[in-house]
Amino acid sequence: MTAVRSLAGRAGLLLAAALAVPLALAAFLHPLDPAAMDLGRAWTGPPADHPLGCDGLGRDVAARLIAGMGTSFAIAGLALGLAVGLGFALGGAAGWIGGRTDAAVLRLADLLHGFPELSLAIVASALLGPGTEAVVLTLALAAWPSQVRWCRALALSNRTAEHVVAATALGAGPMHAVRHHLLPAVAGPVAIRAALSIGPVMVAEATLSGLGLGIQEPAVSLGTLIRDGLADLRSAPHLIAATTVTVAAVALSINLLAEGLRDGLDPRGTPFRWPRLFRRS
Amino acid sequence: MRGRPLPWRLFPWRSARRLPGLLLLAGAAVLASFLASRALPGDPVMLMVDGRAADPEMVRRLRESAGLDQPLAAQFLSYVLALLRGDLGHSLRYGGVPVTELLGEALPVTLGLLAGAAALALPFGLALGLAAADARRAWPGTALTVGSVLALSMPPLALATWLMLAGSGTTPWAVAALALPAAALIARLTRTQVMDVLGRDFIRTAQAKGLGRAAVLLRHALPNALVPLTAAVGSVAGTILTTTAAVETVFALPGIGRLTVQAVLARDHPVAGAAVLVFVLAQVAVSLTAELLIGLADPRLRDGETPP
Repeated sequence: MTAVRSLAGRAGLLLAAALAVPLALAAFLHPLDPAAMDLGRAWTGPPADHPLGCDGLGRDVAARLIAGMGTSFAIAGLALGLAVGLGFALGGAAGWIGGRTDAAVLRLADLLHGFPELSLAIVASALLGPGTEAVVLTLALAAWPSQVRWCRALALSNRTAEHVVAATALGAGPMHAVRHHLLPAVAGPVAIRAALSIGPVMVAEATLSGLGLGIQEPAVSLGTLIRDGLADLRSAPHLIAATTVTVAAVALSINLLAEGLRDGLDPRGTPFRWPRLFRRS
Repeated sequence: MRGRPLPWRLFPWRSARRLPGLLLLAGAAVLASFLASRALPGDPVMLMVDGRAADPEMVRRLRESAGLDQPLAAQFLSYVLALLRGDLGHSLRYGGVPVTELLGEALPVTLGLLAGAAALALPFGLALGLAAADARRAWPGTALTVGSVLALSMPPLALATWLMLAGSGTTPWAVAALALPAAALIARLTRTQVMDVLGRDFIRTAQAKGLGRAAVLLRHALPNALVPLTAAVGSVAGTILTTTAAVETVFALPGIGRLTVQAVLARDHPVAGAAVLVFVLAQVAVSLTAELLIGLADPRLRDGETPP
């Protein structure tokens, strides 16, 4: 549990629990369909039997937030999975083989890095139509260059490591070296790097979908909820309030956990310190 | 060579090695912008006739006049030739206004917003980062970490909405919505880089010869930290566009971000395609500027030497 060794990590875990426990309880005790409409209770504020009130179509805001959070997590996970998988395959090959392969992969990563996220989103939604596929592709392509550079650097330093050279000298083939030496050495750092980018990727999804370039109705994500809230800003401010606070809290808890992970893993870095008031010894 | 370097010696010729890559990037941007402007789904001609049950003969004639009956390669060639003449095509909305005109109206708004945000974020970020790099007390660093994680966790749309509700939606609040995360990022990077430099030997030398704290920080630590700082800021510049689009949308400012988002939603492909091109070229300009600044800031890089 490296992530919770520092106080930032503990704060993040606490916040994540503070979010997850009531949500899980609500989903369990109060199972509501996020799409169920009841125009009779449209615009009702929080103190009804719906903990966060209802939107303009009488749909329960809490149920929609729970559903939206699930979608946003799934999309961030899918996009990062794609970016890490492709990044590992190409970056690992580039670092391990070197030469022209390396130059070509680096050039490709530079090329893609030159496209700002928003232009990737425009091209993706122009080619695929705005929707889930477009936003997953955008986020994966935006995350890919840094993943590929990281995998390449790891593979490069592992290829010349003494134990790998020794294994090769003893007659190990390239597949053996990749399976038994490269993969185990690289898996941890790659996973950590991916975990650090979950927060920013979720924020990016919320922004793109919030602008209308991502998830489309009737699917629900944190981004589409922001979009709904913005549309009903004047008539029902409780919508945008509930949604933006939730999105910010989710991102904050993930980023704090990431900060804890960074502190715990980097002995050189300056650890997060609480003011003396809260420190125990 | 002794004394003051001659002007052309100041130019970081090393930056020239990035030119082939940037030219390739510009080519890819033109291709991407063409693809986005001719994009499926959504037949542009059907959009022009507004989805009405149009006369097939009229549709055929419109398609011919727009060159849409040509093979894709020929369309690309004429797109590139038109681009070289400075012609980005016509918007499918707004009654066929030239795209360059729309961009010309929107760009100043966005550039003003970005300039205002930079004027706020750079001095504040640098000052906060320097103050938090002070190793004598722990709380400035802690406060900065807490503040920057908070500021960077705010989704741009949420932050912009809160600031708009707080400040009656005037433009200075839009600038603040853009400047706050930027300042947090700059402060954070400054602190890390300055603390890294403060551990080096020449800082101890500077202190040993009796320089005050301010002189050590401003004359020795900050310039050395600026090189990695510029590189880091240049490499995250791409994400500021999404933030700008979010801020412009919430504050209803007629900038290029809002124009682009609306164009995509309305399937106004020529405008969306042109925006792709403008964004990538802006990114190229930013990374070239960063490269030149780094070369100017670090004399070792000017003559093609590699820094330690």
